[in-house]
Order: sequence, then C-alpha cells, then structure tokens
Amino acid sequence: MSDKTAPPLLVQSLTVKYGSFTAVDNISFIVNPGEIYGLLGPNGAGKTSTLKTIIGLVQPASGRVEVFGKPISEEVAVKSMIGYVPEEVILMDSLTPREFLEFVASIRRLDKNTVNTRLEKLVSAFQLGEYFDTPIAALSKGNKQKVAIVAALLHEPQLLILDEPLIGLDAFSSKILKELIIFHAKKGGAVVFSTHIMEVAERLCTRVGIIHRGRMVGEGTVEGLRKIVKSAEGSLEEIFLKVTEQETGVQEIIRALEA
Amino acid sequence: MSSISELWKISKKVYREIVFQSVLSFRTEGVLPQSPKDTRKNIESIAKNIELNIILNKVIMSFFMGFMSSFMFFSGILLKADVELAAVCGVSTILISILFMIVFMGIQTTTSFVSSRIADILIPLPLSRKDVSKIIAICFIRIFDIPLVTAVLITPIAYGLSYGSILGALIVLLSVIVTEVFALTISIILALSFYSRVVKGGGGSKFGILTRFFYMTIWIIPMFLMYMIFSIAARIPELVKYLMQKIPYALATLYPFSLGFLTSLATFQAYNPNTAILSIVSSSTYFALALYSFKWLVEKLIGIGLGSTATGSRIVAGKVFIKLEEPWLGIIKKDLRIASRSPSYFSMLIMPIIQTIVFTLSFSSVFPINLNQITIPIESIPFNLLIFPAISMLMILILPPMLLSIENVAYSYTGSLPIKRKTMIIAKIILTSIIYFISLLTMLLLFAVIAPSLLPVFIVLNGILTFSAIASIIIETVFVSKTLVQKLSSGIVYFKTIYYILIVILFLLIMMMPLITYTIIMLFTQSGFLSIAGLTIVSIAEFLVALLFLIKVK
Repeated sequence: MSDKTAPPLLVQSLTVKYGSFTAVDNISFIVNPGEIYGLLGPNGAGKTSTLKTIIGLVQPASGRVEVFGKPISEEVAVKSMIGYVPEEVILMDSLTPREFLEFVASIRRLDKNTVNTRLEKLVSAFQLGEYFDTPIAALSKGNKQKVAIVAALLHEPQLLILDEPLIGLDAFSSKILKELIIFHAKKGGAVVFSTHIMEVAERLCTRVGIIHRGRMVGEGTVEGLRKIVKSAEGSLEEIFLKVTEQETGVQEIIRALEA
Repeated sequence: MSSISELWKISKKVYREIVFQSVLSFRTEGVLPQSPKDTRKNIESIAKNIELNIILNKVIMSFFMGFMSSFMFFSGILLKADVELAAVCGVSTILISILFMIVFMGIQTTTSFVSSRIADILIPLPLSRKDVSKIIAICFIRIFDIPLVTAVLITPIAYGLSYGSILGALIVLLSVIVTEVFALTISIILALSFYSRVVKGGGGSKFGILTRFFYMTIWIIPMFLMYMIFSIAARIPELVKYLMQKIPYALATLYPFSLGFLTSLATFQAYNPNTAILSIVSSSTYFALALYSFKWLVEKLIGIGLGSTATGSRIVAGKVFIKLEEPWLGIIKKDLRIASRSPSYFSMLIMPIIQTIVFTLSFSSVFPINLNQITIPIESIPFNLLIFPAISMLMILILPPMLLSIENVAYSYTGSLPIKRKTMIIAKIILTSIIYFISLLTMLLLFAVIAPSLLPVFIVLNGILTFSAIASIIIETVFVSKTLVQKLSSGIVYFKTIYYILIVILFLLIMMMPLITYTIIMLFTQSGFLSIAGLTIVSIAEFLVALLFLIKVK
C-alpha cells in the first residue's frame, strides 16, 4: 500500500549517467498531491531521462526517487501507482488496441467489473472506438498516442507521468487530455509532464522545473520564476529562454538569418 | 538517370538500412544506452554484428548448397546401375532443396524488406522513380546474393564434372535459374501476403484466426520438407523408381522432376519418346512460367519502390470490451498473438513439434528394424533408442530465449508495466512446457502407429525424462532472463543463430544428464535395472533443483 502522507513524487539528488555522459546531474524536486508539475527544458536537457528513471526504464547512477514513499527499487509497487505515456510511442505493432489493452489490464490486475465501463468512456473521449480492432501498425501517430494515453489512464493511477503527451494529438483530443489532467489533479492525483509547448505549461502547471544540460536551473510557479528573472511581463517562453541562457543566442541567430 | 554502378553503391547503404530497421527499428527502444557517444558506438557495433551474422548465414547456406550439389551428383554416379535415374533424382532433389533454402531465407527477411518504409526515405531524394525502383530491386537481390550465385555456379559445374555432359550442365544451369526465380517469387508472395495481414488485421473472427494459422503453417513447410528430403535422401531413387512405374507421365510433367528428366535426357538420350516429349513440353512451360514470374517480380519490386505496399486499411471495430486474465495468462496470450503474426517467432514456436514429427517419422530409417514386432524391456533398452526422446525434443530449448526476446518488443512501454519477473518467467515456462507436452503427445501418437510394440517403453522413458526436460526449461528460462535477454532483442532469429545454438548446447547438457548417468552406471555395473534407477533419480533430482531455482526468483 502507498503512504498517503508521503508526496506522490520525491526526486532527490538524482544523477543519471550513460557511460561517461551525465544526462541528469543532481536534480531534486517534489510533486505534491493535486499538483501538475511541468518539466521544461531544451532538447537533450535530461527531461526524458528523469521521467524514464522514475518509471524504472533507466537506472539512476545516484540519488533517491520515491513514489508515495516507496523507493523505485520496489518496482512492481511503484509501477502499479503510475500511468505513463512515453515520448516516442512504440507499442506492440502487431496487436490491435483491444489486444494491447487486454494485456495491459491483465498485467495490472484490474477489476473485471469496472474496467470496461472506464475503458468505454476513455475510448469514446479519445474517439478511438473505430480503430479498436485495427492493428497498431496501421494506426496514425496520433492514434497510437491515444492508445498509450488510454492505457496510462485505464487503472486510474495516482501519479501520471506524461512525456510530451500532446505531440501528435489533434486539437480535440489535446483539449480532452488537458481537461483530464486538470480533473486528475483536482481529485488529488499528481501529474508530471514534460513539454516544449510553453503556453500549455503556463496554463496547466501548478509549478514548473526548468532543466538545462542535466541541471535544474529554475523551479517554482510561473509567477515565482518571473520575479526571479525580473521579467514581470514576460511569458513563460521568455522566462525559459532567460533561465536557460538562450535568449541572446536566439536574437543573434535571428539577426544572422535575416542578414 | 543514374548509372548502375552509382545505384549499386547507393543500394549498399539502403540495404544496410533495411537490415538494420528490420532488426532494431521497433525493438530496442529502452535497451540501447542513450549518451550520444555510447549510443553511436553501440549502434555501430550492433549494425556490424548484424551484417557479419547475415554474411555468415549466407556463407553457411551457400556452403550447404555447394556441398549438397557435389554430394548428390557424385554419389549418384557411384550408383552405377540406373545412372539415368540417379541424374533425375539428383537434379530434382537439388532443385527442390535450392527452392526451399531460398524460401526459408526469404521468410526470415523479406517481410521486413516489404514492410520497410525505405521508399519514403528514397522518394524525396533527387532520384527518379525508376532509379528508386532499381535501388529497391538491387537491395532485394542483395538479400540472397551469395546463395543465388553459388547455386548458379556450383550446381551445373558439379553436374558437368559428375556426368561429363556440357548440354546436361547447361540444362541444369537453366533449371537452377528457373528455381531461383520461383523461390524469389514465392518469398515475395508470402511476404506481401503476411505484411498485408499484419497491416489489414490481426485478431478478429475465428475464420481469420484459422486462415492466419494456415498461412503461418505454410511458412514452416519448407523447413519440414527440407529435413524430410535429407532424412530420406537415400531412398529418393527407390521412391522415384516406384513412382515411375506407377505414374510415369505425371512424374515427367511435375516440377522439379520434369527438369530432372530433361537434364537426364540431354545427358543420356535414353528415355521413351512419350516421357521425353512430356518432359520437354512441361519444362518449356516451367521456363515460360519462370519468365512470367520474373516479370511479375520486377513489377512488384517496382511497386515496393513506389511505396505502394505500405498502406493499411481500417477494420470495422466490434464492441469496446476487453477480457481480463491472470497476469501470467495475459503474458502467454500476448506472446501467442505476437508469435502468430511474426513468421520468425511462429516458425520457432512450432519448430519443436515439427522436429518431433520429422524425427519420429524418420525413426524407421534410423533404426532398420521391423518396428511392428520388436519389443524391448526397459532395463535392456539400447542406447540409441534411449537418447531418441531427448534428441527429438532438442528444439524445445530454443523456446525460452525466443519467448523472452518477445519481452523486448516495445520495451519503452512494457518496461513501465508492473510485471513481476517471476510471473513473466513462469508464463514463459508454462508456454514452453505446453509446447513440450504437445510434442511429446505427438511423438507417442506417431509411435502408436509406426511402432506400437515400443510404445509402453517410450511412455515410461519419456515419463521419466520429462522431469529432466522441464528442469532444463526452468533453469534455462531463469538463466536467460537474467543474462542474455537483451542480446536477443531481435525477433528475427536468423540474425541471432549463434546465440540460440550456444544456449541449446549449454542446456542440452542438463537434458542429457540422466542419460549420461545411465551410461556411466551401465559401463561400471552392466545392470540395466541400476542404470534405469540412476536415470530416474537424476531426472527427478534435476527437477527438484530447478524448482528451487524458480522459487528463489524474486
């Protein structure tokens, strides 16, 4: 059982290495119940590595990661509490969504009596019904993404980890997912998601953490970050560029391109 | 338009990419390290490994073809009597073997070729559509290059040297080319059909499942017949002679015998006019059919070049409803579904059953005894009969690594699921054991027909050795799941032959341990009773140790 008093996610001094390369360098953050935590950063900053470590796909070099007080070494218990959508959705191509979800639901030992009602709602919300018996190999990227999202939400996880979940989704499904994320947080669940879309992060996230070259270079509410970078009027995008020291770089590149 | 040499150069890179994609594209996500430096090093080494494996497999296949041609023709000459018939048999056997070997290679690789989205990469480049098609066609030839060339060169030379006929050798050359065209065409037909099945629909109706099973079984037939041919090679002349007496004209018109007759006719000019005319007419028809097949093949390859195969269609979906199972059963169901839609996995899955059937059917050729009359008490069973069950079940040891390798499919997602390692291992052991028992039952049923008097001995013997076999399966599954599973990330077994051979050899030792004990006790005591007792004790002890191993898995 999970410890209800412990935070949904605790990441402390996390370091992830691939050989000699340090992808995540001593990162710490906490996600509280009811919070939507946005993990932002340029490409290759270490967001996906952080999320993969939480979910158990990558082994940390050092540091502590706990989900509801349980260390990630208790793999099965931790994974049971998490719903995960990977950045690059690679599912079992030769299966149909029905067969894939049967496998996922069986592994998660979901309740026979309730799972189909929830499944029906999710499939209908993401307009996936007509593709339910089409092999995943034949689905578009967006529909594969929807299958992964349904699989992640099916067991009503306490913690949602979404790696760039909106990429590939149509406007309708994107809206549905955002509403679901908000609803999930309102119910007391927690969400960690990485995104490049600053407007979405600004609108959805309770707090954001900005990662740059594997290090956490800024963390807090958008308002709090504005104060730190002294940009009271600036959007999250401007804050992000300032924090990651890319603002001057952007202007120089634009000038060079215009010239 | 680019020159052929330029296209050849481009095709080399494209071919590498096809091979690489077919092995890695959707399997190793989450398995490869992700630092830019290490990933590059790792991918480069995997790519080199794959290429080396493919070349090695091609060379082995070519060596086999060359050896077989030489053996069949030279041994045919040694028959002295009926040399005309020996030529017919030799040519026919070699042609059918070449056909099966190329189709066997094809079933492992051409589906990836057909399904690869390589046209999507090539079409935006400044190349004409014709050039793209030519590159794709060259890539297709590259899959088979060494075996194709070997068969074309070695077979006619071996025939010419054995029978001293240039005209005969020329007919053999043409026959080999015809056979190769047929084999390539069959490979592409199977690959296109398989790919369209995957893209157009997986699960669904019982009829769909039945047709898929039938379809997948077809993939196995070449392997099955190949072994049958080799195990009864010595009896082929006898069989052909018999058939010639019964159905002489039908045989002269049937592929590959008609081509065999034509070759023999060109060499010895010694057949009756009716057989001669029939073989000439039917062979000409096969040449024409090969020409037509070749044109069709080129058109299909152009189609692939234009990306026309990479389209799917939507299935009318049923009610949104899922059936839940226990996790271990869920894993077994998933494994069966994935295996039934992958030629490579499926061929491995049913290989133990096929091997048992083939071994049992060829039992009478291994033991030239009157099988209906022989009765052997279990304590005085001869050693070659004793090892028969273990040897005929050898292929079961391929299943645990194969089934574990399925866990690498879509690992970037499945790695996030709360699957207990023990549950996963138990699921693999159960599925392997089910296949083992099906094989065993098949063997006993066949023995009930071909050697009923031996059945009681085999039931008792297999009953004892089953403990050892299940022990091997358990220990192998636990061991491979701990150590080698990532090395087996490719679903195309053909590319990982060496790992599978090593694993089978290693765990065959456990399976053979009771038999080794039997032999040692027999050597020292000459007591059949003590030897059987030793065999039983070791077999049961292995099973208990394996259970302990399994219990200790977390």
